[in-house]
Amino acid sequence: MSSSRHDRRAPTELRPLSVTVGQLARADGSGRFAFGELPTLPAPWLAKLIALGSTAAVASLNGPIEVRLREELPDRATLEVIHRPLEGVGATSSRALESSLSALLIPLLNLSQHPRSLIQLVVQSLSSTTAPSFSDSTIDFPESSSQKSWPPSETVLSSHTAPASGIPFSSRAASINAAALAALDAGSVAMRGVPIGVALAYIPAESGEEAGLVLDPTPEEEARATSRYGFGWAFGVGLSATPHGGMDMDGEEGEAELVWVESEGQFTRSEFQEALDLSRSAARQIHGFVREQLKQRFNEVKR
Amino acid sequence: MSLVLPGDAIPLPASSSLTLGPGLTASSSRSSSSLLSEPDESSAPRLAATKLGVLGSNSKGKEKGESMWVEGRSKRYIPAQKELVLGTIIARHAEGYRVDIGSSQMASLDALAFEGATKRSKPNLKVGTLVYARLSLANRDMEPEIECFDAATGKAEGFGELKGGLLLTVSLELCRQLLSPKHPLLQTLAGQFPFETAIGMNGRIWVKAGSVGETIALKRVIEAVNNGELGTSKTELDGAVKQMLA
Repeated sequence: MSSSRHDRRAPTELRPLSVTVGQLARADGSGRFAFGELPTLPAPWLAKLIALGSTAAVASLNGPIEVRLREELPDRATLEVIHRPLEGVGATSSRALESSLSALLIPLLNLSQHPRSLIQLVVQSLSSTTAPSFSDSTIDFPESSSQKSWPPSETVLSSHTAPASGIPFSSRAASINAAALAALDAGSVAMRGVPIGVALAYIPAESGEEAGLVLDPTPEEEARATSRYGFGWAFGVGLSATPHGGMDMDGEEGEAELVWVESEGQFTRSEFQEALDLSRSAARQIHGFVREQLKQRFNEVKR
Repeated sequence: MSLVLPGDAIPLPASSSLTLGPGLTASSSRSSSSLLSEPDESSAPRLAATKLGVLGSNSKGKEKGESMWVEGRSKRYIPAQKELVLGTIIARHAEGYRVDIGSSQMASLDALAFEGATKRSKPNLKVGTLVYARLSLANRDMEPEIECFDAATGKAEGFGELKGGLLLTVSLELCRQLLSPKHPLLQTLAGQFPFETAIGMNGRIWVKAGSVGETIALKRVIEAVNNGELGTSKTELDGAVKQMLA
């Protein structure tokens, strides 16, 4: 399958990644992660970011700090996750992302090390968190009557774009990666591994192009997709303990555990499996990139 | 230099005993092979990093064993017993003080935890006073307790109220480095003019020189080193101090 993507990427190619840590001076730890190029500060930074079509998020982690009495837990630290979208105030989709972030992070962070304290994670999305509308001429809808009828007929759902709900998957993945960077930079809470999120989408056949799975879809690609997936992998030794499946031992590379799965749209089991397999190697690639960037940072600021 | 990320496996050193410092944990592998009663190497305890940083190790000889730790760049202070800290008194109680040492909970300082303090005569410290103290109790389940005297001798040994001078907030990493006698910064600065200093493990440094100008020069040099703008070589430091005093 030749490169059919607007940005001339191969289907299994990530956008260029960009990683920065410790940008926020007043937070205990902070990190910024972007799928796609990140413009250099200052300038009309956000406008440039949107123009580049990147998906980015910045996160800060503070803690252990004093906890409010009603949220105090006697045996472990309280993890508070706050997501702020780029536009508007956080609504249901932000709450959903917050709950998946805390579900993903709680097993990886050693919260019992700091009982009766608060670990506060704030994730700010730097790219649009509403799915772009697919007014694109490339998608031809069936006659409007079937669109309006409810329940929608089966054929509409199976042959066409799945309705997008909530924050784009690439934005969710960027949020996870930014949160991981913030936790790494803070270093005050022990971690069992580093979680890395990655998004995929299944693009339907269109004007001579084959249908197929694409890695790290842009918001436009996500809008056209029949199904979308988000996978999070945590890298570390001793992670994951199920005797059957779930865990892989890649020798030198270390172990990886699936810590986050979200998907929407219609897909077959084999499509899902293809996405899952692809996500693991992509997450490993991102993990390697993060390691290189952190190495550079530690070498630059040397005392 | 070897940078480790949380979850990275650390090769076990060959020495007979090993002391684990901060940022490392011994994880017993729970992989499928160890469940099936196969005493191969995968069931042996494995070392893993739990925080981002540079792996450090210190060998005390073949018999005495080795210690390993991860040198991170954390900004948040986590109290540990016997560490020296600088704290600000934020409240007074009938039998002691509440002191901010930068941790998640305030430390408590007993009114009798000073040199020569008795029920009749105890020091009267105001809110806002800076004290140099030692953590006598640091436990994850209890609030930290500090004391301003050496429990072994009953003498002040430099602890207690710090009058005058200037408090700087730097990274925890720089504080740890400065406490090592090999670090050239304080030695080089002391070659210029005499000054007093107290270094807390909680990322705070107190300095006091003969004049206000010298104290401010110290502050600026230390902060420049902290921000990575200034190296720690002797010529560089001497030049910076002279420039700031001029």
